[in-house]
Amino acid sequence: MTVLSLTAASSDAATAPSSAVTIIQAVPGAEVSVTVDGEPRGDAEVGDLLGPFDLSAGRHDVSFVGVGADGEDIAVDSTLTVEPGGTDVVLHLPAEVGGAPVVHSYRAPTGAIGPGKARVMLAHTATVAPADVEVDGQTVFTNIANGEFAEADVPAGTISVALLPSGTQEDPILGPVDVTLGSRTLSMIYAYGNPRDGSMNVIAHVTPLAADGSVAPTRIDTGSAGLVTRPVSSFGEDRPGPSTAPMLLAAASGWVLVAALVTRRRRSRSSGLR
Amino acid sequence: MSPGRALAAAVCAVLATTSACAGGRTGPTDAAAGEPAATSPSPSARASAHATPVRPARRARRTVSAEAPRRAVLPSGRTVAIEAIGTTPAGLLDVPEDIEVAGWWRGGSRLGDPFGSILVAAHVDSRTQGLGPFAELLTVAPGSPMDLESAGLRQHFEVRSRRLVPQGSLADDSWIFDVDGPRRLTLVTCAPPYDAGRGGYQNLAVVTAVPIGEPTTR
Repeated sequence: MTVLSLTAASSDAATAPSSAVTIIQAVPGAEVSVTVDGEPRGDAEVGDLLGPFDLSAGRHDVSFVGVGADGEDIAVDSTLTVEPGGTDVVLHLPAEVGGAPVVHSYRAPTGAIGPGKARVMLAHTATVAPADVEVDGQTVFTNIANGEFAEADVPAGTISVALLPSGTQEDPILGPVDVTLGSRTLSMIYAYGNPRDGSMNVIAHVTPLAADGSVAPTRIDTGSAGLVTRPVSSFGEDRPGPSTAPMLLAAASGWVLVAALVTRRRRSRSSGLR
Repeated sequence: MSPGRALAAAVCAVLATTSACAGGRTGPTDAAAGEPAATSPSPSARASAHATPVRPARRARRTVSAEAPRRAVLPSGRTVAIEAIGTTPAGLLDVPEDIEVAGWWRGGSRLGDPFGSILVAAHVDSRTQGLGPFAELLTVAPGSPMDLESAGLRQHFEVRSRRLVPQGSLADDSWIFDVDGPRRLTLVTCAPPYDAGRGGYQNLAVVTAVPIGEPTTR
């Protein structure tokens, strides 16, 4: 079983620059040099993250120059408007086979988060038609097209994720695979590659999130007058039973192991309320 | 090469790459970040002459953005306002004093979140206001419909269960507020017997409703 264990990079959350720009190379087989405002910022192969760079708010030139998988030149010049907060700038291929690389920016949804939760932003940067995303067998995102993204807060821990052709339940493009999400982390996940040549893969950029200050209640007290005297009955299953979302297929996939192999499945998920 | 072997190879390759990235993040990056951000015109005339804007990523169109619930429409049709609440330093859920207003625990799931419990609680009664709207939870029948609304969303639910939980610590009943498990609405109010000498109501009535379909925009 493959487990994608996502851990927040370093503990510099508190000191992270207010405009942290991370540059991500998601074109399979390509090697590019990245410059920002004419200044070299490093070379990147597919899967590489450069940065984060502390850029001032406003316009900046971002250029990618290099060689693609088929030996042809890549030269993408662009202007990025930097806003406060974290931004990922991603060089990737369009949906159509043989298209020239494009650049999209993704702002990090860095709002504070409650206890026991993790935030996932999943972006479609692959050479494939719109896709749905299943988490633990449940469709969570639908019809995400190339360049688009979706985000959700999910329980921290290990979830099973699959990418499927939009509107279908079978033949995943990617996965399903277990992904471990740390509590109070943001995982910006970029699915890239081409399922037709088996090059599907993901790049994950994980950062810590601030706590929203919520604390789980230990007690609830909701009455004081004693006006209700008739006994109250129970019905339905009285508490959730254990029900681990079935792992559909342990299909080979190109998902990345980001930090560590964890072979243990998460604690059984409380489930099955009906 | 078997798929499994190919996968393992890919995983190892990327693991190495990513580790290198993570390692480099605090080194070269800090050095770069320490420099003043370049504000002078790009020395590359070519870059500025042919630059096209970086396209901001689009939010996928049919993806719901979760929102805090604002109103519940109970099975009787009665509408109850909902406000976001936390917990007191003592760990007590900070339910609104006004029995006409329910409280949603802001640390839990929101309307539109794919998993977990949306916990909404209200007082069943008060000495000054009498019985509150949540009293109907004590007699609600299985299958009863109800709605939850936020600023931009509406979700239809159906009542599935009612459980009596003895008053006291919720340490063993975290299913009431867990962000884990299937998405659901958990409605809580107090239930008899009432014993003034032992703190009042001795039970919580916990009604669980399950979503029917997906949230729709209002």
